[in-house]
This record gives sequence, structure tokens and C-alpha cells, in this order.
Amino acid sequence: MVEVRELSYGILKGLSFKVREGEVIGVIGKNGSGKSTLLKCLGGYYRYEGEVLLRGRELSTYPLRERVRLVNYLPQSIHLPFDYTVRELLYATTGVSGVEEALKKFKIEELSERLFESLSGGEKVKVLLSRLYLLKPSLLLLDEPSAFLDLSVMVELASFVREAAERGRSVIVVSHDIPFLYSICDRFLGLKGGEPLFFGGKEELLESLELLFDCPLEVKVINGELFIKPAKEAK
Amino acid sequence: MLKVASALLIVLALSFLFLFYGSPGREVVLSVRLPELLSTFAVGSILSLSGAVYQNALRNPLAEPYTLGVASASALGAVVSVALGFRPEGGALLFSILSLLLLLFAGRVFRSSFSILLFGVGLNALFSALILFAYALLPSYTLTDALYFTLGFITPPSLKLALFLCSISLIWLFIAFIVRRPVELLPLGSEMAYFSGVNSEKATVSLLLTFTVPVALTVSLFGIIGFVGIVIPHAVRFLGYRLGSGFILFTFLLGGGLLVLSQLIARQFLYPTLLPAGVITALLGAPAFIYLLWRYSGGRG
Repeated sequence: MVEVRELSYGILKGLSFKVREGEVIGVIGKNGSGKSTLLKCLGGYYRYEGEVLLRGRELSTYPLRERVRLVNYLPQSIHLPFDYTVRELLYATTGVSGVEEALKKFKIEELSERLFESLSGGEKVKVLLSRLYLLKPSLLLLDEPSAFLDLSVMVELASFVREAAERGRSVIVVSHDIPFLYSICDRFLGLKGGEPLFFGGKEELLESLELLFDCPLEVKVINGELFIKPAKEAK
Repeated sequence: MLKVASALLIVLALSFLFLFYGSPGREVVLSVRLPELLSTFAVGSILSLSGAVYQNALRNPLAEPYTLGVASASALGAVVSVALGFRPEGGALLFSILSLLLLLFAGRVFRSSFSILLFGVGLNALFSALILFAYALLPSYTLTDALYFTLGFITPPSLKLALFLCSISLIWLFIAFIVRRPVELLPLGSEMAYFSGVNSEKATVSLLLTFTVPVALTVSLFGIIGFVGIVIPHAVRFLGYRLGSGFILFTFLLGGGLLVLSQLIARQFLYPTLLPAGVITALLGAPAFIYLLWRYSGGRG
């Protein structure tokens, strides 16, 4: 279980919430509302104020090598100044064997000898997802994983997240793709100006969306799927 | 394994040529050529390893102690030290560390690795000018001395000094093996390095400091030799050794090899003209530098 108490850093002000094992949390908010900052705090990358308890112990008291085995992160993008092949990147950043199996999991085994920088955005995300698959941390932080993915890969991303949750891992996903989050998350954290607007289930999400984005929205749920678009101005 | 064997073979062939070129007498081989060979190889491998660490830690394919002005700061320190009546090594070390700290501070201000490189180029020009200035003021030296010093002139040392340099290069090879993980992770940026278990801020500073020390030593002995530290790590990456022990080992071997070749050309092929080895490394290295600049500034399509 992850317990966040009075977390403050940069724009984030006094956030408190709990994430259970096997739970998937979607973090939603406008640009600059502190979503990515929150993920980097939860990974211990930023030195926040307040507490992040992982398995009952403050995150920053774990030695770094142990910490990143417990919690790991999918960045929005990375840029490499030198050539590394996919295999080399995965090996260097995980230090574990089994790269082949992880690549197979995401159906990208043919990329293993390609240079990471030559990959498309979607392929890069898949490589970084296979990195998390190799590391198997108990808390996964995904920063905009769906941003570069075509539709065929969204299904795999969704099943990767659900599978991790079924194995008892906690997942926190930041995304602007609210219907996608709606389909894979158990609960939702709405951030507005670095403060939590709501933290709850699907009902609360739907009720608070307009307030979160400060604009009138047309929101429909059809057969359990969420559809959102900005509402036309009332005449 | 095949590549390791061929690299070793090349180094051995170069060494053989270096020792016996022009069939000198036994006495010359043992008391002149052998110490010269050993120290040249040691210096080349040190410069090359430091270049690799600088490139990775600063995430810049053109970074090395020479381009960033750290080597010329060492040289200036050595000259100032001697002018004040001290041994050159202390001043070289002090000045190189100060210039490195200045660079790291500039890194916090500028934030882009390209700006840091340009800042270093500026420092390099400043320090080189100050060296010439200092030499002009010192009565016992000529500007020719200054020129040779700033271009890296390796003179045959005593066997004792050669063996000392060899042990230094082996110690730093060993250190490089130990720190190979931070070295291979720092290019990925501080976030990715962190989430792979390396604190990039600490690692960057300590790696750069550690690998500046032997460079300051070589500069205080033989002057500034450029380009080995840029060209060799890229050549090693090109050969397919981009990670871990392979990267370190080949950087060490080929760096030593390149300087031995340069020294061979500079002092023996062109005999009786004796050129600074740095002239040859620059002749070989500057085109490679321009190619790398083109390749890494978007020209690679």
C-alpha cells in the first residue's frame, strides 16, 4: 500500500491519499496542474515535503537501488545523446536478464538491435513499458503512456496495466486521455492548481469534470464507455 | 573475443614498430624507446578514458578535458606553479579542478549541454592565451617552449616515470570498471539514471573530478594533447561496444594505441623533425570532430 501524507513540492500543496495494492489510479488535471510533478515525487526523484509511505516505510529512507526496485517510472520522453540499441538500453537500465521475453510481451522482439533514437514515439513507449515489465516494481508510475500510441497498442497498454494490478501492484497513470483512464482505472485523482479537487470513483469523476477543466462539457457513458467533448455554448 | 584479440594485436604491432623502427641499438630500445612507449600508451589511455567519462557524464559527444578547457587550465596551473618555484603537478591539479567546478557551475546557469561546451571552448581560448602570456613573461622560457607545451610534446622519460604512469593508467582503468554503471547510465539523463539506481548529480561531479586528476598529471608532464578523448570513445561505440566493460576496455586500449601511433609519426616517421604528438592527434582528430559535430547536430537524418 502507498500512503501519501501532506505532500508538498513546487505547485503541489498538502496532498494526502492512499493507494491500495492492486489498485489503478488515474491522475487528471489541466496542463501545469502538477500531475507529472506528483509522479516524480512519488518516485522519490524530487525531494518533497511530507511523507510517502511505501509498505509502511518512508520512501526516502530506502536506499536508492532498493527504492527503484519498489517504485519505477515511465517518462514522457527520453532523449539519448549517444547510440544505444534497445537491448543495451533495457539491459543498462534494469540490470536484469530476460530482455527477449519482455520484448516479446509487447510484440517488439524485432526491435532489439535497433537504435533507440531511431524508433517511433509509440515504439519508444513500448520499449519503456517492457522495461517496467522487467523490473516488476510494486508501484508503477506512468506519465502519459498513451500519448504516442496508435489504437492497436492502447489495448496492450490497457492489458499491461490491468495485469500488473491483478498481480497486486499499484499503478498511477497520468494522462489527458480521460476515456482511456476511465476504462482502466479504479479511482481518480483530480488536480487543480496543485491541490486535490476530488479523489474517488467513476461517479465522482463524472460529477467533477466540468469544475476540473473550467469549461462546459458534454459527458456520456454508453455501454460503460466514456465519451467527452466540449459542450457548445448555450444560445 | 575476436575484436578484443584484434585490438590487442594492433596495439602490439604498433608497439613493436615503435620500439624497433629504424633498427636502433639495444641500448636505445631499452633506455629510450621502451619508457617512451610505455608512457605514451599510458597517457593515451588516460586521455581516452577521461574523454569517455566526460562525454557520458555531460551528455555531450564533443566533451573532453581538452575541448572544455580543463586541460589548458592544467597547463596554465603547471606554468604558474613552476614560475612560483613549485613542482608543476600541484598547480596543474588545482587549476584543472577549479576550471571543472567553474564548468559545473556554468552548467547550472546555462542548463544546456551545448552551452556548457561553448563555455568550455571560451575558457580554453582564455587559458591558452594566458599560457602564452606567462611564457612571454618568464625569462628562462621561449615562446617555442610554450608552443610545444600547448601542443603536447612527449619526450622520452625515465623508466621509473614510465612505470609510474603505467600504474596510474591501470589504476584508473580499474576505477573505470568499478564505475561503469553510472558511466553508462548518465547519458540517459538524470531522471532515467535515477530510476535505474544512480544519483546523477553526485555521480556526475564525482566522476568528472576523479577523471580530471590523471589528466592534470599528464598535462603537467607532457602538455596538452587534444582529440584522443573525443575520437576514441566514439570509435569504440562505432565498433559496437557501448556499455560496461567492453566500452571501458576498448577505450583504454585504442586510446593508448592512437597516441602511440601519433607519437610514432611525430617523432620517428618525420625524423629529424620532431613534432609534438598533439599535432598528429589534431590532424587525425579534427576531421573526426567536425564529422561528429555534423552527425550529432541533426545531420544524421
